[in-house]
Amino acid sequence: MSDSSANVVLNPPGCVAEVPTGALLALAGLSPGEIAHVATLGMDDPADNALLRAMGLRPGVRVRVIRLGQPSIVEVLGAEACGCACASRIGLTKELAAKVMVVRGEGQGVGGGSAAR
Amino acid sequence: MSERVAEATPSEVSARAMPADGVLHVPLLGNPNTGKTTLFNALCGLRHKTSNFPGTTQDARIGTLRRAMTGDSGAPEIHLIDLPGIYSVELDQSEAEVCRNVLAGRLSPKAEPFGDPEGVCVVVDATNLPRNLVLVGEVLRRRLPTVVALNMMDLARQQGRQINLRTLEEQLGCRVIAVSARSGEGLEELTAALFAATVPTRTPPGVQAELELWADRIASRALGASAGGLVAESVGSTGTAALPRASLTDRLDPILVSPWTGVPIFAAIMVGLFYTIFSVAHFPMDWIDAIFAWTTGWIESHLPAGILRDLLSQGVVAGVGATVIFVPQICLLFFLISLLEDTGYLARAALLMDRVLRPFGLPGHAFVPLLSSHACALPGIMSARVIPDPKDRLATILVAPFMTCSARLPVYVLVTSLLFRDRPLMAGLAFVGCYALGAGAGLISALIARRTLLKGKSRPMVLELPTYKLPSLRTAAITTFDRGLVFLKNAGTNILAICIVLWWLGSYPRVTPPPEAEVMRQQAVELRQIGEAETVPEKKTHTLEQAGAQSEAAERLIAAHAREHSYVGRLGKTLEPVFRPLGYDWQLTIGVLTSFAAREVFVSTMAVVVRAGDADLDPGDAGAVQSVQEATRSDGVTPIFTTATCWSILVYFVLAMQCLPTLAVTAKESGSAKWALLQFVWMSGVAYVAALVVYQALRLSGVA
Repeated sequence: MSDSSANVVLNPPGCVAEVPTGALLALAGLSPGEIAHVATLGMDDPADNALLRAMGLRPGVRVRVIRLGQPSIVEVLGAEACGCACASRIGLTKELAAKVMVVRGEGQGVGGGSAAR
Repeated sequence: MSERVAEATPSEVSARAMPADGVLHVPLLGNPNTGKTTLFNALCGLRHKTSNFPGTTQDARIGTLRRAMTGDSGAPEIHLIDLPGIYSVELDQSEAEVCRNVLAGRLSPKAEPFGDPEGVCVVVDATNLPRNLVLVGEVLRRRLPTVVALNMMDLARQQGRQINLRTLEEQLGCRVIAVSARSGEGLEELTAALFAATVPTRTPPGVQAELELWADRIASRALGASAGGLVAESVGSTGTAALPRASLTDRLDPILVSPWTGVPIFAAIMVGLFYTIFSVAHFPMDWIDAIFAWTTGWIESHLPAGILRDLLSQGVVAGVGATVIFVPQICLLFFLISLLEDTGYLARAALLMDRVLRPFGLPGHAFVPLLSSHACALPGIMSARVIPDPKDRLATILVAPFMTCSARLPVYVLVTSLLFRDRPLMAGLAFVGCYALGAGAGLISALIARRTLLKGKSRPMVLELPTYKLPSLRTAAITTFDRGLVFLKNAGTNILAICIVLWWLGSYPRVTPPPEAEVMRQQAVELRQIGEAETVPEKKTHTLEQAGAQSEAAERLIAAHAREHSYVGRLGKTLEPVFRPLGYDWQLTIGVLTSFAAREVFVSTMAVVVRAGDADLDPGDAGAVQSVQEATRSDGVTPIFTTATCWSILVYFVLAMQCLPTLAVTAKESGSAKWALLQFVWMSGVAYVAALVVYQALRLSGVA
């Protein structure tokens, strides 16, 4: 399952989460297996943002989509592309997944996505 | 070891000052799913006590760690305080608040005066360093003597990860001990480090976003990838190790959480769970029953008749029996839930069921407690601990007794057989209706509670799905032992007291038996004499049987008379006007009142009250059912059980809170008797109104 896209270096040396630039789309707009960079969390309540951040889902980290719909599952791959892989799985509702904005991983249709849905 | 204290700067020494009681208080902190509980169990085993943090529904477990070396100066013991698993100390959640308060010395498990903790142990998942290090940073900021337990090192190694402990210690400024809670690796070293913990030499940044970057940076350094260079290479080699579980977990997860496939699997697992509980628990329950029946018999045959004998046999032994009888179900449920939780499946089930329960203001986690309550509300309420949010937990505890428990079944059987004799299909439908009514009332009550008393934002449904793994039998066994003990110690003592009080109310004041009973007794004695003198064997047997029946009838009459004149009987007569609009006479009112000890008591009370059938009325026995059906009120004409009354009593038993043991457990688990009182008032109020509406509507529509 760990296809080649998992090895794409999304982060520059320095191993620190950096908010990605590029066309934004909702996490719910990706397809299963895709890898993306989280740009914003966009929850209505700052406390919810804080919870997601604490769970490791924060701007700058890479996520891999496992399942979309109700409920959705993403794998948080961590900030680094420097060997410090730290996968954890987070299950969330479709509504929450629609609020998290991401940038597609390299070479995967950057600029094509929209924030719709 | 304790001279390490001296290394700290003078202002910091106070943080490690010897506590008055010679015991070091060390909170154990960590992200959920880091193996914190397994580590606690591995360190302390059964040397721990479980209670609640005062004023909270939060479990407080305190374990004892003894210093290994003798002749050493310093505290001989550590009290390890197991804190709830949290992602961040700074979150606006009650678990985080408990952690903050314990770290600040404002809260202690037993409300004892308690300063700053003398140390902190942070459990870190070695396979997920960056996120875990954020929590470490939050603790280090507090400048308390800290030790990091790097758990799951074996797993990290399997995944091809090398963590440089020296680097990690240098970067964090505190001791880092690699442990494996499962295999026991590193536990001694960790214990020694906890006794010698010192204030960290570094202070992480105070702003949360900077702390996250700080954690990322330290994690990548410790994992061997330097801040510059070599990056691409290491990705090539270990980057793939990021996704070692891809195959199995990736394939399983979508199946288990999808409504189409997940729900049938969940249903199958739940059926298996409860089938196991029912099929296994009845053995120990039968033994317990037999042991207590034997004890009662022994007391009654060995002690002289009198108050002491009755108190012991009918009050104390019956009360202890009524408590212990719950233990097998509670233990089995907790054992199986603990196993299920440990495999990682329960998190998926919560995610799946969230959609079903969310419209009622409850999280997916509430499903298992509510389902367990269909066996018995006691284990159901106790298992509400799996619910993370305290408001959700409280709402679940409050409505759990609405679910039809097994103690209601004898009543359902009796009343439905009165309503639908020889019509099993209709009786079956009525049964299903009772289950649906209970569950519906519970869910709607939960929604009302969440919108009024327990108002507040529901937590967003976000939860971590831990890696699938083989469950730990040791963890399950310790959890089971813990829950069983907590139940016996806290709820059990209350249940015992309640049983004694109820026995007293039902047996006092003593009255002289009615004259007709004396006559019947006399007749029985005469019959026996005749029978014994009889020489024809058939006649002898027949006469002796008659004598036995007559004597039993006399005893029943005496019992009914005693009950009528006891405090409960008087209360029944006093309260009759309250229950009359529901269609109950004073005898039924007594039945309703006595079922407070346990609902199934209603059936045996009715047997005594209506002076019919066997004292242990078997609701499946047609003769007994007929005698109940024919039983009349005191006027000798009006039947006690009319159709309208039957429906009314059925609805009342579905909805009413008639179980004092449940109230005792609610008070214990919610941390306050006021919630138990609310539960009682709400459920009984709903039951009263519903039964009133049913009875009056049936009467108005011409059903007697």
